[in-house]
Amino acid sequence: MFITEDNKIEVTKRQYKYKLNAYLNAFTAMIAVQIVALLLSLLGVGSSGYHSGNLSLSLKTYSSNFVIAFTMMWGLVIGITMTTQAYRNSDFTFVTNRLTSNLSNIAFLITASIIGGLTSMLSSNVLKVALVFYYGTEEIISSFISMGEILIGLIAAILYVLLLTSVGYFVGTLSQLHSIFKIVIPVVFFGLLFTSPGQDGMITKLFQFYIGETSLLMFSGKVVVTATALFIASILVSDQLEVR
Amino acid sequence: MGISIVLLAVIIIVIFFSTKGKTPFFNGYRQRIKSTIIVYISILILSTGLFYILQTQLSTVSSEDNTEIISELNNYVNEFYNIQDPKELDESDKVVKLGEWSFPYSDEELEIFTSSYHLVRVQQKETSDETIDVSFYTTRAFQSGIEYTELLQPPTVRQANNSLLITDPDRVEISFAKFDREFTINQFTGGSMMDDNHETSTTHFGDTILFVKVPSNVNVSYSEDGNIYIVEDE
Repeated sequence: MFITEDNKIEVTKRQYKYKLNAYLNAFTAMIAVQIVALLLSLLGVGSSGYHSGNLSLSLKTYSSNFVIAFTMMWGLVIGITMTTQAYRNSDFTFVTNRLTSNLSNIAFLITASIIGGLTSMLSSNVLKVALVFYYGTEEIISSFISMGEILIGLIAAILYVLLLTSVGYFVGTLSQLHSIFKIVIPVVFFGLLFTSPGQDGMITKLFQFYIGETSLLMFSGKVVVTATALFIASILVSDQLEVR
Repeated sequence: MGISIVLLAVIIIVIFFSTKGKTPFFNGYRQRIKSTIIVYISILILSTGLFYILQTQLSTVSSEDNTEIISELNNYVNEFYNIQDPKELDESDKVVKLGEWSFPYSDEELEIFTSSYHLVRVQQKETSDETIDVSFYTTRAFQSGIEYTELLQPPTVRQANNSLLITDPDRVEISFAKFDREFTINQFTGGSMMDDNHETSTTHFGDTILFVKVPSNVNVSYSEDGNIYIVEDE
């Protein structure tokens, strides 16, 4: 059975809707990850103290960086999971081909990135409200955050999760091509991390390419181009996979 | 908020999300997932609204706040310790007077005892006005950009017989919490990537001096182990 161009769009849409319903588990995992990260964040990310004479002053710093970082890791795992055999087989409930399957996966991952990014940033307010009730308003000092900065944070969080999901999807697809990649990819990653550490290390430079970017526009460009390239590469690689 | 609470919560979450033998396609299970997601997102939205209501009652400070005065204070320390007349400090915006005492005194011998960590600076007046004047000054104190000068307590100063006794009051413990902006905001708004604490530019511990001015006819003696300094007449 063949799928025409018009049908491809329709099939992709249907598969996407199906995946949104069928893979709800992914979002409960995200909630669990974010709650764990929030609880870890309650321990604080830093502290400083001043003890002199009769005065003992302690300042504990809190932020929801853990939640965003954990959500990024969730994005990576979801990207990989989408390429596993069990998930790929579920596509065959529909009349499908590799392209529509990949496109619906990518659409799902983009949706997951948006939800992950938004919820990770919003969850910081749960942390803040909890701490206001714990400490009281007198003992809380907050960095003022404007609406514009919140928007920047939201966009950046979504882009970071998207970047990780695309990396996960590519790594997962490569692993499906040949099981040797399941060993080679971590070995290459950690090998580079430990054999060329420091500022000049390849992995450090790679991280710096994204986290060192101070312009949101440039950062968005870098992430969108990288994610697009990785998704296209994943589609091309998956074409090499054996037909079920 | 110890690690035990975190572990307990993790266990609760694991139990809550654990399902034995149910698949994502099982209707009841899927409905429960949907409900969980809706509840979670509702909590996020509610706490966002609640926080922005509560935020108006919080002190706000950014890494840029107070850096100028803190830098000036860090350069001012030597000048502060060389001040001869405490009255010079009354006009300064870098220094705060936290205590002032006056004791009528007609004897000619005075022994000073101190168990305080503050520097005590003793000076004879030009006149014999039968009064011991004591004043306590501190440079303004900041930690991580937050001013806490008003929280500093002056020492206790008492006069009994031929002695002046200086002791520290009971220990005061104060805890603050500070919310840092997320790295996704800091990266694009000029803040440090992981936090916005710049200790060297946002911290100045209050330097303190207790000035003791005695009448010109009073001879002062003191214990060598105290942090006492007598200003000789020039």
